Amino acid sequence: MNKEEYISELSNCLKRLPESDKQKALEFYREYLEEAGQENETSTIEALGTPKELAKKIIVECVDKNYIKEELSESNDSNINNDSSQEAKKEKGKVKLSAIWIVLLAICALPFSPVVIALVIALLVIVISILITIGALVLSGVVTAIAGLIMFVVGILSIFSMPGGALLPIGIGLTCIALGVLMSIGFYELGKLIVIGFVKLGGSMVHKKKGGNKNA
Amino acid sequence: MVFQLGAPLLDACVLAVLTEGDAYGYTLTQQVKSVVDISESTLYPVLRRLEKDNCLETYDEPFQGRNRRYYKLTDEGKTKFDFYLMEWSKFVEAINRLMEGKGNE
Repeated sequence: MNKEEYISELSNCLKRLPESDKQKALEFYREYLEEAGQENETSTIEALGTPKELAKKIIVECVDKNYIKEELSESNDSNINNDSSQEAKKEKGKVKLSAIWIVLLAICALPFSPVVIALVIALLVIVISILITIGALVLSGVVTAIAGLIMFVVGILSIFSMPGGALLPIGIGLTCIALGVLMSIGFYELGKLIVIGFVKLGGSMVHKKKGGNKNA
Repeated sequence: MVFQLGAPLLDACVLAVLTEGDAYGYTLTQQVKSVVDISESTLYPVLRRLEKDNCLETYDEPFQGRNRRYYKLTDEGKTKFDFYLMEWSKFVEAINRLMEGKGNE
């Protein structure tokens, strides 16, 4: 592989990084290979590792950077007054999303052994099943609330025909509404916590990988 | 190399080379590499991190029809290096004392 092929393959592996990060990395390594000189080109390329391996290191560095951004925006949150904190929150969401994305990328840049593929699929299935469970629980909360509302309306409508008998459905209806609302909010928040947990887990897995490779 | 090189020590090595004068990526890597055991791809993330922390800045200079990106210490970088230097000598002294058995006197 010569210099141009190496750089273009590296560029391919970095396709999904933010453009400025990708350009900076490509410029650095292009210059590096040029400085190494024609006579050292092959040995330097060998020392840098395959484009895929090198790409992995660069991507891991970008994950680090985004994590630091996230911490910054979180610590800023407490200092900002109300009208701008809405915006800060939006920004934070974006950073988090890109962190998920980059974790996925880092996994994709790993050499694809069958074990890694199996693990990734297993993890995805677990995550999806948890999300479905949470979704079902939230939905059941909503349905409970709706059922309560119907009971309540039925109770109200029958209050004139049989005042005593109407109190029961009204009471049950109100209870169900309260329970349903609490359930859906509670499970929704729980689901959010779990998703954030998985993102952090993914991030720390990539960090560990990085530690292992540093002296390679 | 028997002893491992952590991120702060790596930062300190890069800052140390740059106190001797500005350098571009290739020579910087070769200089650090001649002293400690790092791979060719170790320094790029280190340089990005130091740049982000405002410890160094870059400028381009034309060389044979292309650009060389030079890295230059900032004041913050110098402060950081002084800090590392102080911490390192404390560390070395403590380890030496321990290893040479002077801690038991």
